[in-house]
Amino acid sequence: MKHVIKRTGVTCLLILVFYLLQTVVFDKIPFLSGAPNLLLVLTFSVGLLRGRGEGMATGFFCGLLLDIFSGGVLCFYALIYMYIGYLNGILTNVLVHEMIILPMLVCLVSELLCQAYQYIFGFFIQNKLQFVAYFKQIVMPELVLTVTAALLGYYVILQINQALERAEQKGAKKFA
Amino acid sequence: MGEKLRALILMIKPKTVLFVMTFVCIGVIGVTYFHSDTAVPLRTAVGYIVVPLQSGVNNIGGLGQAFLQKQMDLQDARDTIAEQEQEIEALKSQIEQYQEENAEVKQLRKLFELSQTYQEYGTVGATVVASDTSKWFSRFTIDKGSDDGLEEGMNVIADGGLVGILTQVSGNFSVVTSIIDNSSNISAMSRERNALCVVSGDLELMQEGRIRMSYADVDSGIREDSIIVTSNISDLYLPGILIGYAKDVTVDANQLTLSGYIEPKVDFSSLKDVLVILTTKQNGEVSK
Repeated sequence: MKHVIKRTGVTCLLILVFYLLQTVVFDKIPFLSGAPNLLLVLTFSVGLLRGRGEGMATGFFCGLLLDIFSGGVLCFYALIYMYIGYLNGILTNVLVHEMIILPMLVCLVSELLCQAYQYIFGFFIQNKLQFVAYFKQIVMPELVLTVTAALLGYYVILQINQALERAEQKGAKKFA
Repeated sequence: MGEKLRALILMIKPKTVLFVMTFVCIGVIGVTYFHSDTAVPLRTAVGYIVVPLQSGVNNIGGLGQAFLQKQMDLQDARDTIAEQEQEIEALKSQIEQYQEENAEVKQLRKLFELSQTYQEYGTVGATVVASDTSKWFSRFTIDKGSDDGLEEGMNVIADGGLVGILTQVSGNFSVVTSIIDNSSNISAMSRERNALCVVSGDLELMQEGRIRMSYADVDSGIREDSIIVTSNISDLYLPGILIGYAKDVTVDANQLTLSGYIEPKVDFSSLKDVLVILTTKQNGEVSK
């Protein structure tokens, strides 16, 4: 039980830190054309490393935070992030932790999913069909930034996860 | 006790949770779409935790930036002081001239009853603390909310130009949707001849910081660099606020209307401080 609380606390802290980085810090860097979607990186990383349940929960709360500050309806982002966390959780068993290709691929697919979702529900239903232009101007830059950030972000989350796992094993031994 | 709870939690399959949560999410989307007020308590509560953090991070970044800037500025300042002393002399004589002209303007304004310009509305200053996370929208968060007397629909200005409108207000933060956002549609007019036109944001132009102008009458006299301000008939925006300058104006295929682009007065890529006008269009009309 103690570990669950600890893990929840760490994840909450990560959500907050990544959100602040995404909205405040990266926004201030002049040569970047946008901010990498760090909450997405967090969602898919937790999904990959910890499975469907935790991926889903992390995704939901990441999305909810975005909803709260975006000023639109609630649960719009929460829904898609929850699914991304869940779908990546399915891949947990395939994953070898040190392999980097799979997380990158997963990040790419997740990001595309997320952008497509925003396009379809924000623009396509308003009959705005300049898809190619949108893809070049909005999807591509964010895709590149996010995949780059995912390299570092995934590594950091991997390290934190391993540290937590070591602590949990130590605790389990003591208990036994 | 802990073990029992653990066993209970393990029994619930993620698939079931996903299924249930999907319906919950769709339900919440539906409810908040039709009644946006229901989300306010949650937004306010989370705002009290996150917005101070955002302000803090902003300030820390600002301090570092300020320190570097200070060193660089010091040298510049010494050089400019010498230049400016000469300028001051020249300006002093100009001031006298302007004072005379100003008196004349005041007299003329009185004559035309044009004193109701937006400079006379009450404003409150706010700092931009965060931008929208997605590039699909042009929205940002400011650090003032209903605690400071803000309401939805209030107009936001900066550098003497229109920035946008408050689309969501919570306890200590508000979301501003800028005029370059795809959803923005403003009834505008040219300052010289009060000719109406529509100014709308466009996602493709958003990156360049420009907006589209359309439906202006072919005889409206709008041309390159015409000054475009908000119109008297807009429901949302107070009249006479500067939007920007017309560019690349062309006659439409129907030979009846003009369209083109507007270069906003405000530089949206480097917004830091904004002013919120405390009068909304509706209230303003009533109190007059």
